[in-house]
Amino acid sequence: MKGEKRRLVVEGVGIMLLCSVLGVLYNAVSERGIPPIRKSPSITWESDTGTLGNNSAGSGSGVDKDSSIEYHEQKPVDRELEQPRSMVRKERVEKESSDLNEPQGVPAITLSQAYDLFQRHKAVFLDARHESEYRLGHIKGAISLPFNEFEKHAVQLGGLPVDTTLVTYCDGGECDLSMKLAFELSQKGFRRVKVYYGGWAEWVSSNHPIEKDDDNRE
Amino acid sequence: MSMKNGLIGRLVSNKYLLLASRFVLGFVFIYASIDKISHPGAFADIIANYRILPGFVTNIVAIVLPWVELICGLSLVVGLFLRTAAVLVTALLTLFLASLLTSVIRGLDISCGCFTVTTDAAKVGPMRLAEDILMILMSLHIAVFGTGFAAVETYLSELEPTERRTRVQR
Repeated sequence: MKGEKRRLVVEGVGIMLLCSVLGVLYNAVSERGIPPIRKSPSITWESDTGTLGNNSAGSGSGVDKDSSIEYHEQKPVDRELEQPRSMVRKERVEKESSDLNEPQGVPAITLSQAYDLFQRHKAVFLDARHESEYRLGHIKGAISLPFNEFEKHAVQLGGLPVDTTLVTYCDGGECDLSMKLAFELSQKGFRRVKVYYGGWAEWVSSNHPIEKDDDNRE
Repeated sequence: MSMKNGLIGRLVSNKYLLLASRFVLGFVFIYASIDKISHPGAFADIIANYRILPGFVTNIVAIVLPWVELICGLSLVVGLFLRTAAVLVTALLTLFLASLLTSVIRGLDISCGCFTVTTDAAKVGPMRLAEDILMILMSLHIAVFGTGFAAVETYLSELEPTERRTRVQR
């Protein structure tokens, strides 16, 4: 019985080693190969201090230059995906945004930035959550574009010019649909896509305008 | 083994039933591995959505895990390193079950990534748990009663009887 256990361990380790080698080799030659170490999922926060503020406009993804937004709001903290945003350099973002594996390089905006765009009607808000959640309540004027049915709903965007500022959001906190949606949209050619990372939860708790499906639109 | 007496004992140690378990589980694992091997990026996203593993290992798991499924599936079907494969599969399924359970408990609305990596595929939920438990029973079945019936390792052992026969025949 001892020999049996030993054999199990030896064979088990052998199989795992074989699989690791096969996996890594195949991944290296495969067209769809991915980097073995996943880069931390990163979003680039649009600056609120001005250090990054205007250079992001160069890529067409920044805050509108003519905006005079005052960002004094406390940034959302304690978020799983939050990155040291001031440290993300432009070159790095642009390089990584070509990596289809991860939605990177799409700028994220804070509640105050989102609300500013909302008030000035400068952006189209896109709800990345499931349609049923959208119906229960969404940011006023937002369009439902569930990420899981992206292709089906993408036709709704057909008429929008590619330089429309699009703001995606989902529940906030633990959801990444908004990031994925933003990434897909930027792949589709939209140049000014932003992720409102605080999402629905933060919007509601700030008592900003919402509507339900049966409300009348403006 | 005392369980080999009695009706149930005879049924579960029946070599045809064991062969059926091997084939069903083996082909399920092979099938499940193909889509993941061909779409590592999508599979990595699914793993990340479970929010269990630290982010940096997600990709390496997405690269290696489907191959473990494939090789174990093949092992079960052809009957080579049968018991080891069955033990590995049991371990994998247990890990999957734990991941599914934590997702259900935390109320994550994510796709399972069990058999395919498409986002609109099966969501994590009770059905997935049931499937997983059923497969754990099958893999335990093989691990405990695995015989050399219709297995490549039996034919290999016949080539060098003195050394291998003892461990294949139980």
